[in-house]
Amino acid sequence: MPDAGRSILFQRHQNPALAREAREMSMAFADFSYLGWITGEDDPDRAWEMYFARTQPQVRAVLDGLLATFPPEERDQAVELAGSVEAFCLPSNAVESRVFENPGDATGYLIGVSPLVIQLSAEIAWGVHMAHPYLPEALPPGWEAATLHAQESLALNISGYIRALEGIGEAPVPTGMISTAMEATARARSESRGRGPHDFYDAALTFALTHELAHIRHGDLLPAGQGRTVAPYSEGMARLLRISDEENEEIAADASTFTACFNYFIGTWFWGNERPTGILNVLKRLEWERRFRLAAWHGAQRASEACEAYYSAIAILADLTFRRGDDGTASRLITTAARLPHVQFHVQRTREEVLAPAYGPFMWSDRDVSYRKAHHSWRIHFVEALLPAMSRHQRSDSPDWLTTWKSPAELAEDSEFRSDAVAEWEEQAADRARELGPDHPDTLATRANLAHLRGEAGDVVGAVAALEQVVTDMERVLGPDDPHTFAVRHNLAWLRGKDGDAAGSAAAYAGLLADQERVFGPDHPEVLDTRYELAWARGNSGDAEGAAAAFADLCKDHERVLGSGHATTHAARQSLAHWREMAGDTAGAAEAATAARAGKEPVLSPGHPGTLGAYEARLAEQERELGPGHPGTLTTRWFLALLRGTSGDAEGAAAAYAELLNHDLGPLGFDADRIRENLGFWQGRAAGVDVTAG
Amino acid sequence: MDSRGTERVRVNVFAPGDPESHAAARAAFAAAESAGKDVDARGSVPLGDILMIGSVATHALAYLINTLRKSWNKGVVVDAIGRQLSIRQDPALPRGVVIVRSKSGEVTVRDGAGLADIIGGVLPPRGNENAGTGGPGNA
Repeated sequence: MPDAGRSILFQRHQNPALAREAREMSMAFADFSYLGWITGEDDPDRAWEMYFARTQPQVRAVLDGLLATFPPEERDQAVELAGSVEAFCLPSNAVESRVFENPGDATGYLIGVSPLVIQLSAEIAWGVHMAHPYLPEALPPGWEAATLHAQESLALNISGYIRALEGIGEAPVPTGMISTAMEATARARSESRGRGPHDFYDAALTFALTHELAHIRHGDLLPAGQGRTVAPYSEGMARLLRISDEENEEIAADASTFTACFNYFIGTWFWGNERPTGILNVLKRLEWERRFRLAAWHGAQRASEACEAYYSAIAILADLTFRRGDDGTASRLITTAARLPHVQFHVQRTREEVLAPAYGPFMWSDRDVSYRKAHHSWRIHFVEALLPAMSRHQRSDSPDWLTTWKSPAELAEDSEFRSDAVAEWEEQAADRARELGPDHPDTLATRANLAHLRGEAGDVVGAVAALEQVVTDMERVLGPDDPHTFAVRHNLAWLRGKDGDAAGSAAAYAGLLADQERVFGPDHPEVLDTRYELAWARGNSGDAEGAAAAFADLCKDHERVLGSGHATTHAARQSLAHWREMAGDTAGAAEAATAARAGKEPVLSPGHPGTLGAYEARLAEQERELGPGHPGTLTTRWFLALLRGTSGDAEGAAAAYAELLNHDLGPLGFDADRIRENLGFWQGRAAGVDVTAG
Repeated sequence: MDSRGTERVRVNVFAPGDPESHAAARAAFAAAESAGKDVDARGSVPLGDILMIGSVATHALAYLINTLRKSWNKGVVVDAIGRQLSIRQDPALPRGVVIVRSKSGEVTVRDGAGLADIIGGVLPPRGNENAGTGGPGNA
């Protein structure tokens, strides 16, 4: 039998003894109910052999690829890891992956990755990709209808997984959207340019494996104090944010996972796309550069999507295990899911601060913010609508994890954090003044941050006085036209407004604007930002008409400079509507509000305000054209029932479920009993009775 | 306890992660005149169990399982269906219950009584290449 775990790229370095022991260790984790279900094989030994033979080449190939795409300066570590790490898919329905030191004779580490998390992550990433086009304007006419269909398919697909995972061995093995697409596109794989279904599956496996590999690279398995983790939050900041050392290590592993995945995607692209050389290949080289940037852009998207989808999968599994009564496992999964805002923060920072300067501004844009929101919208939909409706386990209590899901910025709004942070920064400011001198730029920056924190903590008067002194010192040391001085003046103007001095704030912004326009020119984003704040300060000081006029001009300049889809352009449109309303121009306000809505988030998602209406119209059209009993119509009605329920329309949800029961639901794989329970739940809600179910 | 006989079997014990259950598993290994070697692990999802690998005399295996049955908060599953013997807690089972799954897939539910006979019956036959002390981590 061929060796399923044999390395191709690191054949010389792989430790065969460790590979053999990895194979043995995989048996220790075997769940034969799961193996029998997934392979269809009754004999347990054969089932395990089939599973190992099928999964091991995939895992080893990705591990090889990850090691081979380490940065050149880490090549020695890659070679060392090639001989000291083996990985395998856990042969069970375990929801957690694990990395550990091999307990046998061969020295090294073993990684077992959860197949459930990989499969579910891949399905979600692929489904959201189909349901939420990143560049809708690049699609042919009719894309909106295709997107609506893809959204229903995603919900239907994940509901199939929910049923299957609740009854492993009972419900059939799910054949998801991605599996079907992978079979359909098997021949076109080389033409997928990183955006085909195989690529999404590879990305999910890569993300899961990379995270555990990060624990080895960071030395998290070494005895306390010997690790090499470069934590994303300093010790002090982690303490302020109430993040434990272990959580900080996990966030570090997640944050580095994005970068390693990106390197893997761009590195593997290089293998098949050698840069043309030679004096006659100038045009080919230019074309290669274009495709290289495209590959980098896709690589960043894939790594981000894999990350978002991973946490959605964890959220689904958390809710499923909670419903099953396994509160301990649910709690562990929720702990993991709660890390997402921190990871998103670091992914965005990496894309903005590292990748954008290297490849171009397209490496992080408002579209990525919109895409991230779409993933979040689906995450909420899965947990709050789909699972209650599809799960056979209902509980009256539920973990309120969505409200505890806070970004670093939200955590920093906590009053205890602020008072602790002020104390911490006071200490830092004193240290820097002593060690670097009072006029060092770092000392001045620390004083500015400290003053800002004081203002946030409630001492606005003290903060204004402190910032005035910092501005004086910065103008003396850095110069009046230094961008850092401008930034602190901006904060000072804002704090004056917060202190109730609207006129003083407006005057400060006006002075700043004149200086910034002189230094940066009229179209610089900082200038536009100051104009935005100045317009609000004017309005707050009583000049609503002046504010409206300023925002009308600003909207035009934002559209011209930043584009109509930019987040600050939307904010300017909304502000224009607000100040027209305040100035008594109701018609003008309505016009601006309509423009603001129209330009924002053209693609629907479960949380989009236009989604419910779009599906009501789709149902009417399908009933007319396909008939009420057509599977397409039934799918739309079912999805609409979920949306109506989420929007609070209990009667509408009950009506949709009641109508579903008049038809044959077999082709959709629905359990009629669950539909009846949903009907009962929403009828009860409509009648004002609170019952447990979805 | 009786320590006669030298035939030993590899056992994978997935001890619950709480300190009491882990300590109880250590104590059970010691009482069975064996030692379970902890496999320290990490995971992106915090791990709920600690794998302990031990090599236990076949005649002491029922004693080990019975000790775990009495000390863990939930029921115990003994899985002999594959090439290795695994023991884990199942939160869905009430405390004191043992479920044994034999090589043939047959499931037996027991409390303490008659456990030794059942365990003896599910052990791989003598001379099986995968049943003895081979493989990694025999403590």
